Amino acid sequence: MSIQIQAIQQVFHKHVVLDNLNLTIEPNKIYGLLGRNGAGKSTLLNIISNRIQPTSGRVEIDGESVHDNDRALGKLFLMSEVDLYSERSKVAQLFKLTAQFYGDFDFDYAARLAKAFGLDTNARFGKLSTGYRSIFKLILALCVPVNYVFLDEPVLGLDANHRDLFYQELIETYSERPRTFVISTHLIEEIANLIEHVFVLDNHHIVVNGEVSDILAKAYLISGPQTDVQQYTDGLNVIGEDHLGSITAEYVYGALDNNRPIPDTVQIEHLDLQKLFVSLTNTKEASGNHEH
Amino acid sequence: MQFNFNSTEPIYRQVADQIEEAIFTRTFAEGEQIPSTTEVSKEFHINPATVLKGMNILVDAQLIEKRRGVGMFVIAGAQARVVEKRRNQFYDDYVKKLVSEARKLHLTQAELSSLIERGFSEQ
Amino acid sequence: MNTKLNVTTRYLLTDQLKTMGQSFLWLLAVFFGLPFIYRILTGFRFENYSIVSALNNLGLGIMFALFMFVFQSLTYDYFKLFIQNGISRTTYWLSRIYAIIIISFIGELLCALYSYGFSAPTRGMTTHQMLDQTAYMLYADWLGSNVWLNLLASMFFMWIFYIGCGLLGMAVGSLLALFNKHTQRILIMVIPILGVFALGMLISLTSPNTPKFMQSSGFENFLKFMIGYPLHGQALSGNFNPIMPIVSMIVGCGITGGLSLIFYKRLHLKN
Repeated sequence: MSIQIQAIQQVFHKHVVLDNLNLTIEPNKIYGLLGRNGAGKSTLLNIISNRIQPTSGRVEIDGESVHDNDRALGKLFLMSEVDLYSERSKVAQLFKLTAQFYGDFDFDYAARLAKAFGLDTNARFGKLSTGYRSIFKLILALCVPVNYVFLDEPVLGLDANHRDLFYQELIETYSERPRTFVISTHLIEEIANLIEHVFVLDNHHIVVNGEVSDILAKAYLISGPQTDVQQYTDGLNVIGEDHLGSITAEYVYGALDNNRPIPDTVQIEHLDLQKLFVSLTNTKEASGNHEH
Repeated sequence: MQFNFNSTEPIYRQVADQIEEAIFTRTFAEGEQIPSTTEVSKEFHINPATVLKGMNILVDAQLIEKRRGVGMFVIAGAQARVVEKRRNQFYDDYVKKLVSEARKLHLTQAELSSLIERGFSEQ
Repeated sequence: MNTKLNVTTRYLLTDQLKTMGQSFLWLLAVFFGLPFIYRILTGFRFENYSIVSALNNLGLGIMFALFMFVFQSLTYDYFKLFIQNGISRTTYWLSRIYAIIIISFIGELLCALYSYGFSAPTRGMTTHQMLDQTAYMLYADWLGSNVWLNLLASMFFMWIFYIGCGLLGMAVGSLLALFNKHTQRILIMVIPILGVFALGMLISLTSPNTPKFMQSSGFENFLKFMIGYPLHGQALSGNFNPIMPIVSMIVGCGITGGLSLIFYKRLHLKN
């Protein structure tokens, strides 16, 4: 029971977007999929949901290929940034339609969510604002009977109150019926403690893949006078640095050298997820981070 | 409860510390039910598994117990256990730091002792 | 039939019947409403204009064939909705085939009802006279003197014909759906030109003015064979063999259906 992404390669117009990607998505976990604009997050999600077909490689759900497979595709739902619904359809109609296609739908929960977010279910989809389109698609994502839910930019256009409400509802429904959520977002701080596992996509590759607590346990911020800091971090995996006057801060991702004495002048702290992400994805800029 | 998400400490550790603190100050009295994993999760946007990991530290330390189908409760005698634990850690957590800082400031042992006495008499 | 196929087929059926019905009503409104409004506004009376004769001249069958082609060529919007809802490309394709078969049947039923139930009586024509004016005229007597039997055969013939139109639309539409807007525009311009060119070739090949060497009798015979030209005796209209064109159309349906399956399997979300 899992989603296996095996050796996925995606080339658009002779331009490599994803290069030999391998991932496992396990049941009942909340994942974060992070990456800068154009890193290929949406492409990856589109491949997983068989909306586009990879140049090579395959995606399996519970041992079955998703390619052209109703049963496998029925186990996942991708809430995407692009809207695939007819503008003329009414919200309530689309709830019913989704119920027919997916075989079931939590109408009670959908009604409660619509009320909590103030979504008019008689409105036509085309008349909804960006924020309410997101809300509508989120409600679908939380009410369909699938085990794998992918949320691409779920809080796009949502104000702070609605974002807060969404995170609460996500935890509530996850606690009641555990299932997998993969959240792709730029608002890293808001989901940093919500996700259990993180993937960072950069430069066509997965550069981080692990439990958030494990990842952060080996992400350090080492600060102090420049020479002392550099002496201590010499040979370690330094992924970035900041300067403030004569104080230097270096970001280290990976194990420290336990045999090395820590100078009194040097302070060691842990990085948070956002800082780690920024440092990791900044260093690769020089080697070419192509936008689409 | 309050969480300092910029802290160096892992979140599950902070969850355990915060609940322990509440037991220590009797905010969560012995025999009383504490907020559920989901409630803590929802309130602070923390993954339920992380919250559970934090709570399990306290279960292992015999401060709280799980009552099937009801929730987590503070065990009788938990407060005393926290006090005992903190007393044991007092030397490591506070005295060592105090002495080290005093040395940096060139305070003598006698001077430090008199400051401690002053602290006791003034508060 | 599994449940997903069932649901998608039902969705396509209701959606297409609804939109086709609406479009038809719009067309009627334009055809009959505009001259009427024009008359009211200008006071000008069309000579010989009557709703009945206008209705009678309405090429309902041709219009339905065109509708089938156009509506079945619309591919991408349904694809978007279906792939969002976890419906595979093959299921989408198969449900469209089912929908085409059913809609064509309903369409032919309505067309026949109109032709023989309304159009013929108002023009004072017998059912047989009416049958002789349809696309089936070449075959109208093949099943003997029983007009109802021949009428039934003609309905079957037209049913297959409409399915063919739908499948052709499906193939062209899904081919276009594989390309971006720019390429689509080019294809939309190029395909009809090529079509006209091919038609011209066909006509010139079969015309008596064509030089002998080009007048390949093999090709001509093949065409005659396809339309069911009598092998022996006189080629009288009404006595052509309808089995031949029906088989030809079914083979054609198989080819266009197969092509469309290839195109449907390659559908993907565009940026």
